[in-house]
Amino acid sequence: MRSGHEEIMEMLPEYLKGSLPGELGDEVKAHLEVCEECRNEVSFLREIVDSEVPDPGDLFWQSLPRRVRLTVEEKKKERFPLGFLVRRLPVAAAIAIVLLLTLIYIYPNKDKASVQDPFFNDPLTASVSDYSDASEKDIPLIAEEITVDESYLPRENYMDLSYHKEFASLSSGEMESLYEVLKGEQQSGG
Amino acid sequence: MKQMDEDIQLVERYLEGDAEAVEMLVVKYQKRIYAIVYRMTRNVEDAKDLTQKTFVKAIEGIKGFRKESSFKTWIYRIAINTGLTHLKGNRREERELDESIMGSHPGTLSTIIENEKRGFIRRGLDELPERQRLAVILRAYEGLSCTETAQVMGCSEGAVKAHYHHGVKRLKEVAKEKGYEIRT
Repeated sequence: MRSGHEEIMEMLPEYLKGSLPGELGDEVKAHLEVCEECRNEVSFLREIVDSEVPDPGDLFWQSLPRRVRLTVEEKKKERFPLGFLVRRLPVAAAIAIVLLLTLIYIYPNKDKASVQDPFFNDPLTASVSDYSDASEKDIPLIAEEITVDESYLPRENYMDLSYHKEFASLSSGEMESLYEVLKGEQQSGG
Repeated sequence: MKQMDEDIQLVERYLEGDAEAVEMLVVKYQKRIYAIVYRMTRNVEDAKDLTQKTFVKAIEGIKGFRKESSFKTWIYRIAINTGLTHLKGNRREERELDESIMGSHPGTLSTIIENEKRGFIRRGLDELPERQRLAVILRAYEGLSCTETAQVMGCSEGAVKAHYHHGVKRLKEVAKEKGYEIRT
């Protein structure tokens, strides 16, 4: 495809720099022979491109690659400890805040838990286990489990182990009446 | 295309831990980067400093180089930005000094006239609005295509064409005002 005058004009800087592919270069060359405007443009571009750039000297060219490499390596080393900490500072601060909030939340709740003992409110929820679906037949098994429930025993160390067994051997009717009695006593402040 | 592949290979070698690949990239582009920043600053010392800064910035941010574009346009863009940042904080006093030193070399009458003409063109280039100046530097001096110049300048090809056209037109006017004929 042959290019028009405007397209050739666009290609002149690349033509002068020798960066046009062969076929296009030939096309520009042929166009220049017949187009005065483009010839003038090329001449002008040659004039401005010829303005010299002072050479900083061989020492500069020879030392620059090494200097660049060493500067990058040095910056990397310098940046690591400080940059490492700075980059992680927000994360560390966030972790510290979360820990602090957790501690603030846990301690008051722990105190509350020891004051409001669930045993006297509902013996069956005293353990962390859920016995809501348990039948009468399951009671001896539950009693076994209660005796090895570590989260339960240290908190309830004022209770005798035999008391649990005795309590666990009650029938569901007896348990319900005991529950009612305890509830009544609690309400009357007993 | 071959050049682009070579550059990408060097970048990959550096990323894999071969520090010498950096030196090879610097050797390949140092003269072109120096010429660009010199044409922006007109000061040899600044240009030397900015050339080094450009490469250091490029290597430090090399992970951000997307391999679908060429390393050349990517590093030219860094050079242009480094040069512009420098110019914003440092106006032209030093440039005047540099020019006066350069202009003091003795020579034949034709050399003096040539230097004077170049001086006018150079000043004309310096006085162009920033975008026009960059378009002329990248297109006329560096021989970049419109597409490449647009990538370096971060604008459309249409904008590059307009900036370049106005820039060259203004330079022609400067030459004409000073009575210099452009030989065909």
